[in-house]
Amino acid sequence: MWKFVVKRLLLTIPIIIAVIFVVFTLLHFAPGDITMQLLGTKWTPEAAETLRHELGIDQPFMTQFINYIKGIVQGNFGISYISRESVTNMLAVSMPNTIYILITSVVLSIVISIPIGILAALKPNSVFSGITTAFSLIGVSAPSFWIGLLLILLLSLRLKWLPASGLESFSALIMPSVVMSLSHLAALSRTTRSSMIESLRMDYIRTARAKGVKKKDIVLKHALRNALMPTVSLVGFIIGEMIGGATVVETIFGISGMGRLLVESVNKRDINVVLGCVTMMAICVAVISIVTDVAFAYLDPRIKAQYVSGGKSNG
Amino acid sequence: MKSLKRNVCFLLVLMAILSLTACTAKTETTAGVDKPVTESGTAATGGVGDHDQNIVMALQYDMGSFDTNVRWANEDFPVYFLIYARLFEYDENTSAIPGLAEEVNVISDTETQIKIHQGAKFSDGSEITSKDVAASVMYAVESGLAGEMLDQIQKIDCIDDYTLSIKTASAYPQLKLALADPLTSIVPASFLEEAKTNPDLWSNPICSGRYTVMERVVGSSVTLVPNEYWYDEATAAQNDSITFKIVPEASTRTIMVQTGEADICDGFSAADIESAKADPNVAIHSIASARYFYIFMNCQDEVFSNKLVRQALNYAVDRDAALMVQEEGRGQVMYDYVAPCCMGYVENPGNYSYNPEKAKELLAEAGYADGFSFDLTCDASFGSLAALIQGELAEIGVTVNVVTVEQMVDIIPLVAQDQCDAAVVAWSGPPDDALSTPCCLAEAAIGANNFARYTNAELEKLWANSYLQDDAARVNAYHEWENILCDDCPWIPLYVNEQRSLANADLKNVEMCCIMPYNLYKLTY
Repeated sequence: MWKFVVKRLLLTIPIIIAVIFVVFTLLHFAPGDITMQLLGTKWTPEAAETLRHELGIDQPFMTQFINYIKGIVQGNFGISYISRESVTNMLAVSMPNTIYILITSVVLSIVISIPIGILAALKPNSVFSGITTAFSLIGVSAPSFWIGLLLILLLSLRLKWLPASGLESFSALIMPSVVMSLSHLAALSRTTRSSMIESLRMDYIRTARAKGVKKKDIVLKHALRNALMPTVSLVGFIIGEMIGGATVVETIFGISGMGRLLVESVNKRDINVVLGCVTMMAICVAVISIVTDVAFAYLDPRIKAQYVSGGKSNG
Repeated sequence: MKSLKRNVCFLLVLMAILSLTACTAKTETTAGVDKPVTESGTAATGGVGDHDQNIVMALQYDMGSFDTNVRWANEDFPVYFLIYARLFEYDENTSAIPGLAEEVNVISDTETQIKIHQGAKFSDGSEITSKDVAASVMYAVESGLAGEMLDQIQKIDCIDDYTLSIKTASAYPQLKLALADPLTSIVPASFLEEAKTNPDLWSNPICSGRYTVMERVVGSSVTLVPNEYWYDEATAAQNDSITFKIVPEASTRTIMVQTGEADICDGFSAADIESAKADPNVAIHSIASARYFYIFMNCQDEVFSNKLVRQALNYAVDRDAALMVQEEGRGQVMYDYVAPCCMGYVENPGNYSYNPEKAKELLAEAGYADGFSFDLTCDASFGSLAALIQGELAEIGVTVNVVTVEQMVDIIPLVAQDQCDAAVVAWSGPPDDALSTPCCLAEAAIGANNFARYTNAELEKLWANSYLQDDAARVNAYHEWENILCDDCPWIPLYVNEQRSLANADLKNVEMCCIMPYNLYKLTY
């Protein structure tokens, strides 16, 4: 199993380099110029050329790329052209904030959607199923910035229960996490519901019922484990989506996270920061992909055996 | 089918409840203002939140660097004004008033001696001397970022530990204004020297101002605490700390002030004005800003080289409508070439007004009775304004093709390459006409700030002779060239917007200048 994990980690490296190359190329050839941001109305072609030389961005494209990769290998993501801060430090500050929101959003999504999915599968045409469907549809249809602002107006301004911005306390984490998780609740609960329904129709469940196994054990011990496979796969995908999609939530709630840092840096043409953010996001998604695969192995021994045997089939 | 209908009805009811619970009242437009105005709620019962003396200000944008000469950007100034001293400071019209400068002696047209306060110290306890001041000012001169403001300064000599002699290329009555520029912020000469090879030092600056930096979290917050070595007890910080929190979303900043999470915010949105007026816990502070919006016309273009065409367009644009569309009526329409807070400002030197018939006459006189077409470039935030102008000019037979760019700075290379007919731009110039209009309209500035590629030999002579020491004579000179500009019309001046801030109703000493809430050291409960 460990061999599988190590092999996947090693395979991730060329993927991340490829991602960095694509983004580097796009930024290099995109319209817009960092010298305009820095010089503003003092911009002249001569001043811009001097500044480009100072920043090292007048060098050939491949030279700049290779220098950048060399820097990353040494843990140096360069310096922000705007703030002159180390990009590594900026990421060290912003990434934890994004991860806090991510973890709480994912936990919230799982904790709410899986039980809802199970109950909806057990009572498919009930009022409960209808209500959960309605809430799920709101979550997936309403824009997250709108829900965020409404929650701030209601919970911060009117009721004064929660702070409107920042991440200074645990209570400040609640609204951003709820907003981020809402859009994924529908997908997760529907997936759990449909896979539970399928699982509950299997012969081994009928056998377990015939043997007199309690309903709770049938659902939680037998059916759920098989039903979770598609849900785990979807959770992995959602986490990857959330990493990039945290920008809106971070902007609304004034949280200094990686998503907001990325968007602001794109607007300012702060190339080093953009590349740093994209690299970290690529690494996170790759790691999550590996974790998802390991989770599959834990849930389904057949998959674990496949990983251990290197994908060779038995017999 | 029944359950589907039930679900849909439930969904609609839920959305209605959510919206009604959280939505604000309908907004109304109000007239612009041209002096500081404070608007409080109808029943002012006092602000919310615990009133400690740790002031929290919510800002839209984060500052860049503590290095005073990396870039010239308004986002840096709220912090610079607090942590760094300068020889002069700004008043509410960004005119210069004494700061660290104790005494000013004009020796000749090109030499001014300034004596600084003795006993002033940096945050590390070392004394501020003339050598530090000279090094800091020359750092700003050499960076070139302040452009015409500091170009005149040729040399600074230290006569003794507290006296400097500043030599300028020619008579420069705006010297005090130049020395109030935030780029001339004072840091130790030794620090500047070390920072040349070790720029990381700027992360922990040695401060000369009323505050020192306690903590900065890039993208999130900056916390300042009073500098124990500030030299003047009478003008020392009146609060225990100031924390700037970066909150990009305007509505969130407003709510933070209303809930007491923040004591004051900048960039207060016009959309939130009515809800803020209904809240007795907050007060709105506003003033006509120095941010000046106009349309330049490429005067070297075949059509726009004709003065009559430019004058016609000045009559064809309804500035009141432009202000309403862009700023919900809050601000001040403009006909002059400098902002109201600028020395030399006149309300309407050319006596222009919205007069489409007059515009048509002028076009016919210019030989364009059948109209013409041109490209109007603007960034996405001016979409509504561009559409309005498109409609107004269509009435006089002029076809406007709107070209949208991502950001206003993207217009600069188009202008440099002479690929721009006309564009909507904004400008926050120095508060002295002699520094403002030549910067934007001198021949030497073509390819830089002179977007209109305008030239006028008569004006060049007037500008060269305008550095008069006597203020009244200078103002007369300014009026003379503004009359010429209003006749020549390289621009269509539109409006200045409003500088607005929302603060806790109990917060005292909220002062506004035309570029930002300022004198934050005075904020107290």
